[in-house]
Amino acid sequence: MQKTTRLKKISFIFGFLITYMAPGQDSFQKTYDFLQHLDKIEAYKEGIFFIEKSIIKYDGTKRDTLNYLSGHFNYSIKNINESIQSFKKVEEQSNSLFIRSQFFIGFQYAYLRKYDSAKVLGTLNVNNDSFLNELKSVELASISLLERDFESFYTYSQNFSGSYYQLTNTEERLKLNKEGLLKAKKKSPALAGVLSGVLPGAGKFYVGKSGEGYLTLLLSTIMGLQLREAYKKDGINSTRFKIYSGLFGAIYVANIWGSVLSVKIYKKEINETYDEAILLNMHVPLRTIFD
Amino acid sequence: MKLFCSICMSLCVPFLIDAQDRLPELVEVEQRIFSAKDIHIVDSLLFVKADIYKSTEQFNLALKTLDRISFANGSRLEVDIINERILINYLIGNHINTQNLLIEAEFIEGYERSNTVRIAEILNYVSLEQFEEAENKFQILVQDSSRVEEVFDVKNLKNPNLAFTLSFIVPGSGQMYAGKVFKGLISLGVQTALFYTGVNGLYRGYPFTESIPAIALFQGFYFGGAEYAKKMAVEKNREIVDELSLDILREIKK
Repeated sequence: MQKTTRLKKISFIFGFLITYMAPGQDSFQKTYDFLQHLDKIEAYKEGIFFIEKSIIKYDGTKRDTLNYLSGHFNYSIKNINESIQSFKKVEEQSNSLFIRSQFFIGFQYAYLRKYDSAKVLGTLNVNNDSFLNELKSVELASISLLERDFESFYTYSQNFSGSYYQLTNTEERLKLNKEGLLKAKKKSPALAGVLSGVLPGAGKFYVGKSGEGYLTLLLSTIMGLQLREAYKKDGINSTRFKIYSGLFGAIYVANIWGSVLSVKIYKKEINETYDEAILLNMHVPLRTIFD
Repeated sequence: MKLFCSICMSLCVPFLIDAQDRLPELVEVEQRIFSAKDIHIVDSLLFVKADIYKSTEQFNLALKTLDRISFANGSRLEVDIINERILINYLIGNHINTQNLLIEAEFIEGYERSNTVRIAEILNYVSLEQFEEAENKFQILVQDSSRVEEVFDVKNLKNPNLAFTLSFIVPGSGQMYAGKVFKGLISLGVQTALFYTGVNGLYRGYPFTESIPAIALFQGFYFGGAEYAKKMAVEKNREIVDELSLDILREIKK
């Protein structure tokens, strides 16, 4: 107990001292090594704070390096807007860092669904580097898929050579994503509604939700039998028949509307799933190549 | 929240400090860790850094920082670090981990529990609903049997599975067992009425328009009621645990 209290006192005094006795920085290399260390221990917030404090001392490529690291740290903790702003500050003079920054900017704009801004990659000069050119095509093809612009996707995918192992899997997966999206596009809400009108639950089978389809069919059958019983026992003018015919009619219409909605929900879910997969495909090569 | 604040105060953890306010300190400490050559200094600084994280409620980061301590060349801080790990695990709510760490610590030569760890140990036993062990440890800490008996007087926990089973045998009885007598009576009344309607419908020749809707509703209330009774028993136990924890903390303050 005493030892812990003593340590807490030391901690307090230490905190007090360091507030007033900030040590000076020796060299940029030291700063850079320390930031690498913070990256390694995943202390990103500390890294961002440290850069904010020390960046004023540097200019030129050194400042670009710090801006790039700030973008990287913000990116790692999903501070997307801050990350984009930091990457944007990296100037063209730092060629390699500038190219990397542009790729991360493009990806993050795509993540924010700002596709026009993401297409900034199209104007990026990668110095005729064939690998970076192909990576650029992969990223732009992904953005086209996110926009559901299949023609542009086709144009960019013409550049997929399959000769770079870092990109081969991504290229294959993007092509599969395109096929999947084209298939999902074909489901029609109107047809689902008509099918449910003919046979309750058929619209759900059409969307692929067979469990819900069987349940709807069973419920509708029971309600039909209830209506028949009310009619046979108490007659067409009875309160029982009126209540059950009202219920049956409401459920029948609700089923048709439910089937139409099911297709819309199905499409939304499919779109979200594919968007996530495409963004992952964009993200993986950037992480493996640039980090 | 009230309980968490009381626990933090009793375990000497300052709370509600904005993490951003201590960021400069964290960076400075990390800089010193980075440039330090002596392993003992690194260990001490890591301990300090973990303490800063703890004070800003970043308990997982505090644990991660303690994990970086190497213990190379036999760290002088070993006992303090074990105690910190126990405290932080308790504060996060990893009660099983806390218990395991307490057991492991027993086998470490020269290990001594700090007073805050002793309190955390008692509270941890209470959270794990092991009141007997909590009572024994509390007895050792306060060394006054009358105070111990007063605090631990009539703290009967409810068995959630028993509440579930009771509701299956007699609808509503599980809720009554969990301490919600009125809700239990309502549940019993509703289920009896639905069951009667279902059987009566069959007798009167209305199987589809009366029996099926009534029986469908009955089974919903029957199974749902049993689940609800189980949930209420768990909630009741939570209340008992929180109340007992507060009583213990109040008694320790005295």
